[in-house]
Amino acid sequence: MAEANFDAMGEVLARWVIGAAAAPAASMWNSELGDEPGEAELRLLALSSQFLGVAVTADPPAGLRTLPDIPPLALPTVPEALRHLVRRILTATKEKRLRSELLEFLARRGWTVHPGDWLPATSDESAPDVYAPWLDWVDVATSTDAARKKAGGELTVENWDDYWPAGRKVALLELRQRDPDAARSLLEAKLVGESAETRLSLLGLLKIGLSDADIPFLESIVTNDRAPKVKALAASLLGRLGRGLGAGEDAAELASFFSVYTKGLVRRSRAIGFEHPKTATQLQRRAALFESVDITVFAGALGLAPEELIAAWPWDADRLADTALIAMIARTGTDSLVTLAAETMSHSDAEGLRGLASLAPRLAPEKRWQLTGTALGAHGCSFETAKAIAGATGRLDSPLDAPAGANLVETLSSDDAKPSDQIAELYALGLIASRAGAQHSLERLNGAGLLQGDPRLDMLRLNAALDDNGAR
Amino acid sequence: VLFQREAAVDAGSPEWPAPEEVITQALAKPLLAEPWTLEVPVLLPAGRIALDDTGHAWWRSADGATTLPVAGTAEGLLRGADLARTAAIWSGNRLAILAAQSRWGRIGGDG
Repeated sequence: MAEANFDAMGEVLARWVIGAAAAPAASMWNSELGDEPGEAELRLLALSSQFLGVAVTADPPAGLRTLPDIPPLALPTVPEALRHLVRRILTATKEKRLRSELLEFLARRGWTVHPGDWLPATSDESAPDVYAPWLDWVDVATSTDAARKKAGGELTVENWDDYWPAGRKVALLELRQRDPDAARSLLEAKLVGESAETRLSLLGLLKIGLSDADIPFLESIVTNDRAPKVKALAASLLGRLGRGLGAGEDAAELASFFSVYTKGLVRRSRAIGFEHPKTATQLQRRAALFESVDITVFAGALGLAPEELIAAWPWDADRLADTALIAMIARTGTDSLVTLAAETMSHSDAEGLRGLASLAPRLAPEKRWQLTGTALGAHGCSFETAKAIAGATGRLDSPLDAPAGANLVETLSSDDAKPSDQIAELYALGLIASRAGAQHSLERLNGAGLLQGDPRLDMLRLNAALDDNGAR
Repeated sequence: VLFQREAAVDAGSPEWPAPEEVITQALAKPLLAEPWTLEVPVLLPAGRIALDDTGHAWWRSADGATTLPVAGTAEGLLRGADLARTAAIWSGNRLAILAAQSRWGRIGGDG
């Protein structure tokens, strides 16, 4: 019956489309439509509308596919009562870097976000490793290659292709931490078959446990890889092992922008002077050379050891040169040289501390935290800078006792303070304070006139309310 | 302080009611009673979101007997979990999902 009615609907609709009367085509409803033509069309309109609404739905196409379940993570999701704060912060932080810092903070506290509040985008490598199963799920969701399954057991040459990219990277990272030689051997066998972006990402894992045993492999990449970025990364890793590859002519040209002289009558020491570039073109050339030359080679071109270069460098005399040198050290310096440069920078002014922040990812966590303490003792260090040095650690117990804290309270208490003031500083404070530190800070800031529901305090409120499940 | 909101407490996830009738009846009955009805609120039983080749989303009952086209794209978590119950609005040709209950708790219609 319904099928016959549905078949008749085709003819009815076709007649209406061309402006013709359709009642004669709806013989199944003859008695309901009546004899009066105008009234019959109106009744047919009502009947066909209800018929289509009640009895007809779209036929699903063949081959519908369902995605696999979003996998649970190794860490629990934040308690339900705090999800609204996480959502508000995620909504307010459009910048990917800030969102990554929140994810990092939560992971350090032993929590993850709820998948209803956030899921990574494809190739979102800024998310902490704990989210790798979700990254792979997103890959599955956007891929038609649904047959590939996540492999179990240790990553090997044989099961390399059974892993989705994020899970494979985490497996390789774990292998590198446990058995650096095995991880390198795996890369030697499989890296060449990957895309340039993946090669760059996986090669970066060699930073962990980097040793002289990696030198032949890195040198082969510098020689044979097709992608300039991959070559550059391999060269920088070689630089960290004291095997700088920078061209001698480039280093000599860069060295020509500086002069080395001896100063002091009693305690004679070496110092570096600037041969200031005279034109913008020279300045650009100097910047380009800083980006391509290795620190060991550059120091050698000046007739100095890298450690002597740091001691002799006239910090603060040329900020552009300072920044370029710090970037060169971060890129190609050995671990001990990076630590030496970071210690030197930790006593700098606000601008110098930004250089320390760019060295921080190369430092061990405890060293980062120690240097953050040193930097926060100075008047030039804001909470934002401290966060850039330490990361979203959530460890600082009395943040408002630091000069940055006093400065923050004073600014927020002033008569001309606006509701949009100090957003970034308060967010950074929320990320670096310990739970107790966040609770005390909230009390102090409420006392200074900030409302408890002020959205600028969301990160602090989340921090203050979130149990510490143990740092990761 | 004029008003202070106490910290929210985790009230848990109360059990969702079970649908009382088969889906086709739940969709058709309001229209038969009031033919001018444009939208029918409906509580669906266990099901899951499926995708066709063009990426359009369909809600499919766990027993496979009913498949309904979904309005919008049904993003995120909606696509990656069994939906024990789904509250939705049926417009006659599309299902607008308001919320669903899953093992992750309640999911909003936007995923």
